[in-house]
Amino acid sequence: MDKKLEDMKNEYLSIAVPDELEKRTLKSIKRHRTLKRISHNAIFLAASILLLITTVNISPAAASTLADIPFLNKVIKVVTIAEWKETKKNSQLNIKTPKVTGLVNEALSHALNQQYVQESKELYAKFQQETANEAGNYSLESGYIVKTDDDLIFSLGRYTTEIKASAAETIHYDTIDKQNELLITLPSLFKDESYINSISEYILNEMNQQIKAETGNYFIKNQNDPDGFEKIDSSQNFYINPNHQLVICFDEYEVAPGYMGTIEFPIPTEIIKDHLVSDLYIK
Amino acid sequence: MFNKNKKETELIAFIMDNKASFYRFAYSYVRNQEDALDIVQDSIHKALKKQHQLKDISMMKSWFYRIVATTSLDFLRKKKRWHVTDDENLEILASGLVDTYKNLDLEQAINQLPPSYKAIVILRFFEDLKLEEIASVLGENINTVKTKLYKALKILRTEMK
Repeated sequence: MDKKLEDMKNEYLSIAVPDELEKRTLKSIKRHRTLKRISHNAIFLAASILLLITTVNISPAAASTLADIPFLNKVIKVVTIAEWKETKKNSQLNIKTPKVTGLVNEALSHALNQQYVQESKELYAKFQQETANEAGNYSLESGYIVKTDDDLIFSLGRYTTEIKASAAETIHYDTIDKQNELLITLPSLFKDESYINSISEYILNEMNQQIKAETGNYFIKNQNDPDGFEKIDSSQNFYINPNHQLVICFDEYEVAPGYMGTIEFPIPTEIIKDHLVSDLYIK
Repeated sequence: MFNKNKKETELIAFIMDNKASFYRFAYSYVRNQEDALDIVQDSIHKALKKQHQLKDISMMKSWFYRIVATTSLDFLRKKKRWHVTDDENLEILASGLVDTYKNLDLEQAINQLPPSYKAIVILRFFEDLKLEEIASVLGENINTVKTKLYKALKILRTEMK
């Protein structure tokens, strides 16, 4: 028996390992590093925004000055300040940098714009680096979409799509209260942390229904997949749509296989209304 | 921050050192090269993304094997969805996908085993994992693992007489 097991072991160890394994492994690691860098930027942005909100909230002078200004809500605009396009042999680059103007709260718009420019520069540098020594195909596209722009709310999403054999798309939203000129964060909408569970429960239910109906596929935490989706992050990516509904967003690969792309779940206001601080933003 | 980076560096080094073992393990589930490569790639992606869930670095080995095992099973389950024919016919149809082997007796003997039994034999005898580690890879009680290992050996013994 030991002899047989030994033979079986040798047999098993002789399963040919293709050369491609090395390449694929490196690719996985590299992609992780890229995605991590992007999310670090998001964390930095969140931190700077928190600081700004605190400043505005602590200083009654600043807050009252802002409140006294009428027709402020009309003037926020987004313009493209720079568009970089470049085509190399098999590689393409297209970066559009947005700029928010019209906010009286200059610190806020300045911080946002600085961040946007900074991120575009990093993407550009990355493109140069990626295409400098590789003959492979590579495409990088970055731009923005205005999801909502009405009297009260302004939601801007910035996306980055990187294509290199397979594609990875990330998107980050900023939502501004135009009347008070505040950046809205997810926790600031709610009284306490209980919204995390209510929203997560709703999303899980939605995911399960879609899986059942075979209209979608998601990574859900269970015995077999301990790493799947369980609940949203307290500062999960989100925006507010023109119907003043909260929309929770996930990056590609975050909760679903790549073919599902970036994922959005509009949350019925019914589900969260008990947790909301007010019905000002979300109705 | 420092610890986090250190963990990631260790994890990446571990992946680079052991990728062939992961590949073979994935291969033992899906039985073809392309799918096994996909599973390894997916597993690495998952592991790096969820590395904060690895609390104890000494558990890295069983933790990673567990990811490979769940990813493989998940893959097989998804593939199963597309069955329109019965299993017997499918096996005949699908046999084109499976790579061929030199030593059919041994290969067949181990592939006769139910998947969880097979994984236990592979991890215990071919990859030299401890019983406790195997229990945590498969998310099973250590006594269950022992019983299954014993049964698996019994089956193999009768198979190879």
